[in-house]
Amino acid sequence: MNRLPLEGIRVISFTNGLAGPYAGRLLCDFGAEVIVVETRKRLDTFRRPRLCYPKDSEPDFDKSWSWAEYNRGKKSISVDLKREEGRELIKRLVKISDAAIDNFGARVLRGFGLDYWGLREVKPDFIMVSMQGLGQSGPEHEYVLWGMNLMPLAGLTYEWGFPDVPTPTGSGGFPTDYLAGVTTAFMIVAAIEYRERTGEGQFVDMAQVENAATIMESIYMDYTINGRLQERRGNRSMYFAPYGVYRCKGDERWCAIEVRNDNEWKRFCHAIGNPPWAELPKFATMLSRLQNVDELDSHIEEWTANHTHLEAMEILQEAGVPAGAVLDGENQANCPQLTHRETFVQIEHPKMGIAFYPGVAMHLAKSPGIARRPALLGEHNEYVLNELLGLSKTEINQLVEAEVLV
Amino acid sequence: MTVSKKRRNSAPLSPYRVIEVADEKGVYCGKLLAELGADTIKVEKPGGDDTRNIPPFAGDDPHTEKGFFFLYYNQNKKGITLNLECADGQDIFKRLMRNADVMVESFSPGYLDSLGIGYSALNEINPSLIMTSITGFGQSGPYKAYKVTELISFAMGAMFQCGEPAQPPSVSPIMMSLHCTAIHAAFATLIALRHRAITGEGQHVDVAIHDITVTGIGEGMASRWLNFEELLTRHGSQHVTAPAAIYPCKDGHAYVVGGLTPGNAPGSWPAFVDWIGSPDALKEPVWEDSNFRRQNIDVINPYIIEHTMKYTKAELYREGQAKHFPVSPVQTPADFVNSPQTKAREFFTEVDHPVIGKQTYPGPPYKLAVPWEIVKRPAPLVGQHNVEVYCGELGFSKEELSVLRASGII
Amino acid sequence: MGALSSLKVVEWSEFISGPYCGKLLADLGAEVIKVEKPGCGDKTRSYGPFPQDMPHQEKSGLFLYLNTNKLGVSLNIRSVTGAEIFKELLTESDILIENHSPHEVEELGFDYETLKKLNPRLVMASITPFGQTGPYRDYKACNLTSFHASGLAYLNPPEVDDIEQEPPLRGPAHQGDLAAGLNAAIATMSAIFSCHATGLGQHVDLSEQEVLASMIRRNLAGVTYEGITMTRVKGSQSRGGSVMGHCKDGYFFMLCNTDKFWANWVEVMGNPDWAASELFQTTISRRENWDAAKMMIEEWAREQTVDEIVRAAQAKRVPCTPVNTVRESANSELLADRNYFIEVHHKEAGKLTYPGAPYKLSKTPWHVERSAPLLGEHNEEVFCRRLGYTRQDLLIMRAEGVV
Repeated sequence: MNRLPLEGIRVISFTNGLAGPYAGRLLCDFGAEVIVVETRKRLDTFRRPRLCYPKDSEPDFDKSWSWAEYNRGKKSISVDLKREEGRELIKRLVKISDAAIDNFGARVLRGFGLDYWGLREVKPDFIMVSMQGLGQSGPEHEYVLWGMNLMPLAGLTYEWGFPDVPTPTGSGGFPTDYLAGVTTAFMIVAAIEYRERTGEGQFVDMAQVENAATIMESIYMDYTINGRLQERRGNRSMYFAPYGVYRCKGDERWCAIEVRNDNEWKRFCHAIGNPPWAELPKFATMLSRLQNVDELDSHIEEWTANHTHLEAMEILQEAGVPAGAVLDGENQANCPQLTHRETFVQIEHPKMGIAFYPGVAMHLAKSPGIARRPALLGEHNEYVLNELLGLSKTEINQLVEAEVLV
Repeated sequence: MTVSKKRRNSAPLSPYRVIEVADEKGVYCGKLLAELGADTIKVEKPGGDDTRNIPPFAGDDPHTEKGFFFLYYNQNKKGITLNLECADGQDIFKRLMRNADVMVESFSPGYLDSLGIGYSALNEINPSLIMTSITGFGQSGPYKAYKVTELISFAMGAMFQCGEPAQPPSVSPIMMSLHCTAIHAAFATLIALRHRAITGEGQHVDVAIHDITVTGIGEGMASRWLNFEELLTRHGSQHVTAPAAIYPCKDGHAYVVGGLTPGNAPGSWPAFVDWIGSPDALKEPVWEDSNFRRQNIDVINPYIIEHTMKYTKAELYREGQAKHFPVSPVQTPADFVNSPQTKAREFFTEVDHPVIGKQTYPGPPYKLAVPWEIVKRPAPLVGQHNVEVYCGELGFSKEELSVLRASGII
Repeated sequence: MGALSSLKVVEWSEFISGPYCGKLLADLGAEVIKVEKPGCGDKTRSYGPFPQDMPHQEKSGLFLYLNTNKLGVSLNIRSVTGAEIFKELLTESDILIENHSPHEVEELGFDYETLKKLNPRLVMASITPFGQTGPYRDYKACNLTSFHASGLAYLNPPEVDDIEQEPPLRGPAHQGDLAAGLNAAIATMSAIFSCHATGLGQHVDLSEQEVLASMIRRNLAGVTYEGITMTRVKGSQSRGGSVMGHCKDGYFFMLCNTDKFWANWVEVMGNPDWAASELFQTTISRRENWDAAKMMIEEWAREQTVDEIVRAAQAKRVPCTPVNTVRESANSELLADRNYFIEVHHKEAGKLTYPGAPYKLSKTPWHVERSAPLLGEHNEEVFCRRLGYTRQDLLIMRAEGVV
């Protein structure tokens, strides 16, 4: 078995929730040893019973499928950072580690002296990426912000939803977390690369809100350069028609369809059986279709309503027209493409048994990543403290009794 | 390729040469690599890449050099033109690839092979080449030939959960699934470079937007079904805990969260009730259960709305945060640009471009303690670096360049 | 006010023949809208020469010259919207110049029969290698092959010793294409005259082969009248009496095929003894012994400069001119005196010197009002201000690849 690309790299994960753990999981999948610093005194959001999955399980922080999903493959130690001995242990661990990820609140590690500046004293070439919502500077950076607060701050929620509905929706989820997580993983590997050549470490102070704004370029440049504030436009496009989400047979069944040019329009008409309405001049060009978009969309729904969303997608894609069924969880679970790609894998959890987890989504032909099992809370205390840091069993027991390892 | 030691050490990816032949599915991957110092060359078809046509444009002038999408995603890259569909173009491409470390491409599976410049052909020429291929569904499988756009990939990967229950599902207003995938591709490229550092070998990196979207911003819909047969559906902005949703203010909206901290501490439910004016109806102990609150959120909402409507979103932000409630304004893009936080972070940067001049662009989303020197250049004009690359590197003479031009090769 | 200011022309053509026809009309004041495909535009833009040899879409010398005074739009006429807009333009125009293959034109629905229904006054000038009819109508050709197909190349170079060693040669530059464009302009203007009288347009059918063949009508007449096929062999075409000779600092050309010219030329040479010989006293004897005469003339010329020879010969009214290199022509005092070359300022290419018009009009002189258009430069002016599309429409069309 080939050595994994990040084997030998040790990352300390001061993380909670989704963004930080997602970053660590990417690194872990490619061989990094990612050690999550946890404590029973302040459980990760996803270990807290009311946010656990499955919902009807006994409240057991080790039976959280959500935590397991984001943190699979990593090692877990339980250390109370509020205790000086706990912080000392971390510093000793830092000495033999390469990097750390921080998505605690902005004040937390700083308050413990475990922020980059503190850790750099311990290891001058240390690499750290902090990924707070608003970064580590600025008048608002110490505000209390959770994942769902970030999309609104980034200006993204405002732009997301229907124009005739007063309240914008946003995605309802946490896209900023995933974006921040993968950007963090990218920056860590880049910083490791840099250090190997120059011996220098790095501190990356990334603001999740800014990270989201970096892929909103058109919206922002339209404002800064053209002075224009874009408004919500629902599922319509200003430039293409057909473009949108159309009702299909059944309840809550939709298919997205997009036509970008004459060629795709011709194929679309042919795929739906060249109905007479499609031949009308008012639908012959992009401009005219945009001018008559309401009528166009209702004609299209006449067709989609007679097909399941999967059928509509298949028929149109076979004809060379961009179309995508709005897949729900069950559809995705049964998606033949995802099955082919082995996107989900089965892993055994020490307490929860076998379950499906997302596998390694990027396929590297010669150095594929490996999805490994989640850890129990504090499962690796002995490994880290005894094997890595050289503490004796007695010393470890003392720390347990003193509730430093908790 | 030989790079001076000083240059090699100026930024993480300075020693590397990246060739990018990618459309909207891959440009951000190239940008991220270029931003960290890689010598990145964007290969466009003669006359310019189609992504130059993506609106909006500076001054609403649909001009090859004024499209915001192209201007933004191609900063720090050099630009050359090359017709890959002719034999001469393919020869030149192969010569370029001899010294390349990474190639980022987003063509349909099989297209590059059909031109004789797919992975297996290029691997023969340069076994240490890393080819990162970004497609909608991957290099193989029943959907490999499916056409993909942001609308399509978002629909299949994440849309079912987005929007209000009473409305159709709602598409993202930006190319979210595409760019999120591109970041993953950039990460995977760095992993492949590490593998190469250990083994000397390059490889083919196959990244699919569908995989990344379903396992990421798809918010676990698939695995919830696989493991619990639970169907996740749209719920607007309302979070699984309550209260946590978008509420109206005098001049817009804000995201208001209450009750996440336990007991009576700041941010707790009792503190929240107090903040919104202590309505008697909400003082019953039964409300202290978050699940109960969630199920009966319609009872709570009017009280919250009555409170939030007294404030502008900026006021609510300040007031809420002062009491440790996770409150954030639903900022318009203008709000974000002008916010004191954004300004203090100097997030927006000025870029000087030969055609549109000095303008303000979103900048990198981080601050660095150790300065990495990156050549900052604006997006290239069409064929701007043809002379530098074809004459300077590949040894074509100026006359030969004219010949290549006349026959539509460049 | 140019001579042709009242005319509205749409030019859908590439490279040289069509654009040159368009230029001739534009330079005389006609409004010419050049329709180019989005992206790369007219392929001439890819042809040099380029300033400092750096290929650039907006700086091709050939393109800049051929497209002075035109408006330029980018339009994909193969798209449904593009075809509609093209037809809208044609409805308002007097002339369409195109140089595409007849098959392609028919396929796109822009053949004359279709367009005349749209606009009965339209004059459509179609320039092709072999014309709109006949077995070669859809053959692909270029200046090189047209030259050869016309028979003109067969006669070039003349006065050759061994024609096996010297195969037929086309003329330099793109004379065929230019000649085709020139003839198209003449024919088109004739059709416009006719339209003024009758109210109806017509189809003008130019074959480049025919244009070139018409330059060798003397040789064609030789075949049809005398049954003689001229070749490149010495003596086949020439009747003697001319010299293209090498002198001290270049070449000169002299023609003395009459007794009068010969006598004057002998004076120019300073009445050398050999010229008094019997061999050279009559037109016929000179023709028979022209090789010898030429040899003696060339020996004399080697000691003279071009300038000396030409001045002396012109003073004696003998047809004699310098054989200029391009550089010499560009720097020619004579041309400068006539203000033949002009300086044009172009947005991207800057100030460059261009050949001017080969004629002078006393009342409505030729001048360059605008330099060659940038690709799509007048999209807004033509599509929005004239045809009524909005700026938003333009953005939509751009996103779709129509403009």
